[in-house]
Amino acid sequence: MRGADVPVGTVLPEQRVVADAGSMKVFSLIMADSNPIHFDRHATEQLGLGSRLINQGTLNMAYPMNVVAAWIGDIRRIRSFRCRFLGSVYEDDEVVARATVTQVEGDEVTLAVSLDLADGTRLLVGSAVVDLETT
Amino acid sequence: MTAALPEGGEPFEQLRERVTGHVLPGGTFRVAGHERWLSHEAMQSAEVDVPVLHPVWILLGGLRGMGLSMDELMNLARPGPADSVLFGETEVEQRVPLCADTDYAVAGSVVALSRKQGQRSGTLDIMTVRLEISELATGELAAVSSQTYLITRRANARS
Repeated sequence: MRGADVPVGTVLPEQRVVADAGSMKVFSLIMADSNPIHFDRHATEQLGLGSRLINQGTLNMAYPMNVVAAWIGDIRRIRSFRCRFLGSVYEDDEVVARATVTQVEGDEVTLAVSLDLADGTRLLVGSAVVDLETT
Repeated sequence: MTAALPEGGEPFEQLRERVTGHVLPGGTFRVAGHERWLSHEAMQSAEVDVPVLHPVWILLGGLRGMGLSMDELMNLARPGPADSVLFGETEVEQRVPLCADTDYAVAGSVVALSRKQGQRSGTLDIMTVRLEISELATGELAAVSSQTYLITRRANARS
């Protein structure tokens, strides 16, 4: 695939993901993150944040990256990724990761990315730049 | 992310001068093969060629190797006990893909501290940290991670 083959406005296949407690606990260890909202429901409840665990922002940013990586077929071709967090993802939430081509310059493609709850609530917005040629 | 740290009360201009340009201790990190496997599964990532790491590891590796804990990093901005700290904007730049079982060096600094006043949100400080990740053996710059942290100042805010 080359840049000339990619029209601006191309919508990539979305990915639906369910946030699961096991992944949050793995990431707490990976990140050495002691914040109990990611692994202790009792603590989350005591903090007034409800009875479900809260997904790490780093996991939330991975989902739209996965959409982009699946499209280009090689995660190494992601040149940059920028995002802003707008809301929390809770345990068992189904979220939808999306990406749309916004700019093409040669083989460099810029995409708008997002993560939403299934009801449309926006949780993350950002952009990614990929190089279609580089391996 | 939250931080409950000693009350500051330092005038903002003084705080900005002290924090901006602050060089972090830095350090090294290495991602073991099993951490790669477990993290990729947790991210629900499709198969990635071994030993390449998912680019989220640019953020994770930078935090591992910056030489400070997150609380120590936030403490540079002296959040008070009623202040809250959140991730703002995150950017990762992948020049050379990171790999498991490879040693990387991290060098970084606080590149900006700014203050905004909102009618509803009150006083908000925005601290930007840039971390550069280089392969330890060659010194080649592999990736850059830039994060902004939002510190909502509560009762002890001074402008």
